[in-house]
Amino acid sequence: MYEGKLVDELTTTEELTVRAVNYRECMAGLLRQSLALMAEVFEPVDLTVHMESTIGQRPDDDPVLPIRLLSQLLVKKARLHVYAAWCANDSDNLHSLGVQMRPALECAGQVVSVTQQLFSKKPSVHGKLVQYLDADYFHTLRRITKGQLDTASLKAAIANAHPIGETPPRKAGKLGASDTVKSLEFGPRWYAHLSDSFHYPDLDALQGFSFCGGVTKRQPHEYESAYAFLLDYLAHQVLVMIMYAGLLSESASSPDGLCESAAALLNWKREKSAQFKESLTSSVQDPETPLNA
Amino acid sequence: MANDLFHSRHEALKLLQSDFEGCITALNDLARIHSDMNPLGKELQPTELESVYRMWKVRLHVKAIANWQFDMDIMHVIAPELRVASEQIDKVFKQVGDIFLSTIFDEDGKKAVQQMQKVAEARQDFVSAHVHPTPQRLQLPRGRGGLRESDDILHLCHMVVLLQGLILKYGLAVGYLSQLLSSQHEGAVGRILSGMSMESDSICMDNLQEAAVPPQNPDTSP
Repeated sequence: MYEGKLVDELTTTEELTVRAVNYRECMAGLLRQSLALMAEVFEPVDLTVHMESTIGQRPDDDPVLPIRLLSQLLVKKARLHVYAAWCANDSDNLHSLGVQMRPALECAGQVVSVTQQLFSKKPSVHGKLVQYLDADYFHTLRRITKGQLDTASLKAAIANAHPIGETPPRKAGKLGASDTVKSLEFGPRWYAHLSDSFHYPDLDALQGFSFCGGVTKRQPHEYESAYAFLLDYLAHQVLVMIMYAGLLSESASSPDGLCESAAALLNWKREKSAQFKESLTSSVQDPETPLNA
Repeated sequence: MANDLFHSRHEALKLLQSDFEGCITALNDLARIHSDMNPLGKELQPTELESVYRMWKVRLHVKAIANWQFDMDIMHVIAPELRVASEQIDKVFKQVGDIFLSTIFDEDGKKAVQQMQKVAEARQDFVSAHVHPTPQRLQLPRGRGGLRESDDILHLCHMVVLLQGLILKYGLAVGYLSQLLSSQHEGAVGRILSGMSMESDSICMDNLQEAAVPPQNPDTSP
């Protein structure tokens, strides 16, 4: 009937469940609003076709343009997964939510890191951006040619075509998927958690708490909280992504409006989130345990 | 000529959509049978218990896939679910081995199953291309995990073949579970699998051989 830790006042698990349900509903509503904002990031053109006709032709006019288009592609992909995550919440499928979150976070992380590097005042950071795009090109080409391409000649071709001669040669190795979320707050930890709990769970995870990938509903408040925490993190990172994408956006009805809307939602979310988390973690007492134990 | 081409393309798309919807129905049916077994309530050995838990996770992802309707961009959202579900079923079969297959299939049946599994495995690249997005990958055509519009028929063929592979694997795994739990659903699973028809005359099955061959002269433009 009662569970938890410390303190002054007892809270029933039923009440905890109600709080967790409210938290979950609030975060799901926020995610819905984020989806609407994401749609404003796109320009009304076919991004991929626009990209082909743009790269290499207009860098002097607008050097940010290729990066803006790349970001818009990432936002478009993220939107598909965020919508799927929202549907997963709607249909009460925590595992689907956990699985859809990872690609959405990968997109968000790349938009954030690319924009941060683009606007950095340090020239060395610009080099990192070029290296990242270069490595991405290399690995994509290797993947679609299924290793049939000679990598030495590919590296040489990329190096020759490179606009920045000072960039060090690309090192061998993979472009790690987990690297893409490094720019997000707690990104690598969340990426690892989602991978271990929802993508590649072991038996302990499958039998454990919902938040850790458990498949059974143990306690309603624990189950509802798992949804709320996942939606909370996803909504937060999506709003951060929109803010960064808004910095690049020329679209516009109002690029500033997009950043401001996302920032306002983010601030509102921070307050709400803190309140809900506080209500879930404090003021719970196990009646079996004496207060001063 | 152009009219003929349009006619056949239109027809092919309709066939693929109908195949997709057939896959969704079969997945829903299997998930319902699986759910009816209520495997989480039974007393089991640890290894059996692991299969039961893994299969319950598979069911959740199958339900997520079965919630979607036909759409050109649907592979982006199906791919992560499909990947996780397939991996979990593979882990279950690793424990079961070939013994279970030999109890329900004759030699021809086993060969057909193995061929279907090979085709589905060959398409795993197609799935993983949709799971880890990067800017370059998103510029590729749909069939390669990108967002660019391309040959929809080939792209949809890949998707339907993968879904049929999942139905086969999930059906066999549910059949195994049914045997494990001594439930009455084994016959129902068999009916769904035979209804799926390994010899289907759909455009997908006609293209299986072609789809198993790695693409030549890939489009490498960024």
